[in-house]
Amino acid sequence: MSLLPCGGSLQAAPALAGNAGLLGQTLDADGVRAVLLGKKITLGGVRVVIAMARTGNAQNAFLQSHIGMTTSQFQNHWRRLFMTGGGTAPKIFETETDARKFAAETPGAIVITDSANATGLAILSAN
Amino acid sequence: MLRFWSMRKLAEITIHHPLRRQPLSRLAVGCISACIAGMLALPAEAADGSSLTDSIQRIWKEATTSIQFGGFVSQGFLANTGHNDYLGNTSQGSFDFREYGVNASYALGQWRFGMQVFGQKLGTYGDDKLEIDWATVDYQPSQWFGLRGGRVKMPRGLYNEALDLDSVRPFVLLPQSVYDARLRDFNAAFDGGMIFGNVGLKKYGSLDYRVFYGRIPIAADSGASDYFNNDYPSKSLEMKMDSVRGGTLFWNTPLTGLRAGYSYSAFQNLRSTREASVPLGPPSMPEVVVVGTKSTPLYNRHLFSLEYSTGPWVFAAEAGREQATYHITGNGLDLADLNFRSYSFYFSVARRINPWLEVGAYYSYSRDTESLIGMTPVQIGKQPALTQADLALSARFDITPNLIFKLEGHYMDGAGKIFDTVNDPQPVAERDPVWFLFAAKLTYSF
Repeated sequence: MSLLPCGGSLQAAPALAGNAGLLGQTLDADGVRAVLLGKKITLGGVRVVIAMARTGNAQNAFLQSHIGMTTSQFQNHWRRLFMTGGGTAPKIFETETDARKFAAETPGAIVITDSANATGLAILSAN
Repeated sequence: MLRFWSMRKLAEITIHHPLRRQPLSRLAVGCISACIAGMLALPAEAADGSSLTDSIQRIWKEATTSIQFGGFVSQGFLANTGHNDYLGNTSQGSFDFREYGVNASYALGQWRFGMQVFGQKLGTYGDDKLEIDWATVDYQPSQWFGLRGGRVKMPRGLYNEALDLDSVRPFVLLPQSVYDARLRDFNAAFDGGMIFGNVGLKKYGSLDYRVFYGRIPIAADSGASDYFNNDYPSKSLEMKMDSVRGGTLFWNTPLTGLRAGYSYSAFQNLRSTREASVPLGPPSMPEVVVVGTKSTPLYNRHLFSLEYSTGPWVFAAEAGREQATYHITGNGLDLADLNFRSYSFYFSVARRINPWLEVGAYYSYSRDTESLIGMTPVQIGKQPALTQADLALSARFDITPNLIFKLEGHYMDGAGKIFDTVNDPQPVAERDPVWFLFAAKLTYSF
């Protein structure tokens, strides 16, 4: 996998992207599921931090196709873990842009985004 | 005899029930210390030679941005027709139904530290005293293996770890046949350790496992104490166990949203010391005060679970069995042996209608039997089997993303699950066999 220099030439599709420090990490469907559901907590030895927008089309589509949850159900899943001592909840941002910015600046951070907008992020798994 | 009414007031936050003078366990103290140590494990010295103040400021900023906080506060109302008092003084209508908690957690690499302080009132239980609900240190070096120690939420079935989380379901009351709200202080957590993990099975899905060992402190005036002493109206003086052990195994099937699991837990040497007034003969004869014990070498619990989430729908079903053989003594004499059996099941469905409305329904059933083994000089053990069937309909209104309101109606059939205590005598013969229970709850979470 490689860092995407810019998104303009790519076909838009929801993807799981991560901080540039995760370059070289790839996730198959089981891996994506394990990371998003909090069963796998590190990638490349770094603690995973999930960044999410409150809502978003790419995010909804990716969650539905990979773990069969809506964004709301996904947040409930994490709330159950977080409130019972079972995990560290995703960071929630108002917009996908803010979530991407956080992922770009934070080691171990991952974000679901349109691959065309994943400039500066490492693509871990495409839809 | 334990004279708990003469104890001096305990500190505001206790790890055990406030009426019992019990210090923080060594495990809990260790856990809290580890939390603090973990938070201080941030870089304490700047590599570029900046001042100590700069380092402290950086650590503070890192800590305040990395520590996650969460919490909730809820207030409910319960009322039922007839004169059964079920979850508190519900025959008169009761606002003694609330929960609140605040937690913080911090993760660093493969480590995570967290703690929640919790309070509740459900009828006479809880009494709005703050307790440490959970306080854990996690070390998870791989997906398939992790360790958790401290005061740990007890894994059991689909929802036992999330008993208080109103925000993740439409129901005010979880199906009481499996998740009896009065047993919360007993069922919610244990002091000890757990190993856990997720094992991938390729095209067959994955397995989540948890195995735990520890102990559960039980307050003499808790719902759990009333539950175990429900064979005869008595005043519980002390209740304890040697250990709790068990585990869960859940199969996340290849069909997205479908999981099935089995939970087992066992309490070793569960025993209660209690005081009761026992008639010497016919009603005209005086009563004698008897101090005795009720104990079992092993109390077993099994629970099978199934859940399917698809789109806006969530279907769930669980069925369980509990079993124990009790030995009962009074004033040093062997009085009786009892066989206790409990069967329970429920199935539920919930559907999200739109962003502000979710509805749900369930049917829940339990059947408890306590039968004498041999003969006894006193009348102990409820006969015949007591059942409770509960058909519930719920509506949840999401007023804001943080504020929800729920309404729920229950059609109750059966005289089971009612406590007959010294303070609130409810002999089986005087209970309403059919009744309606209404519940409402407002919850704010953050």
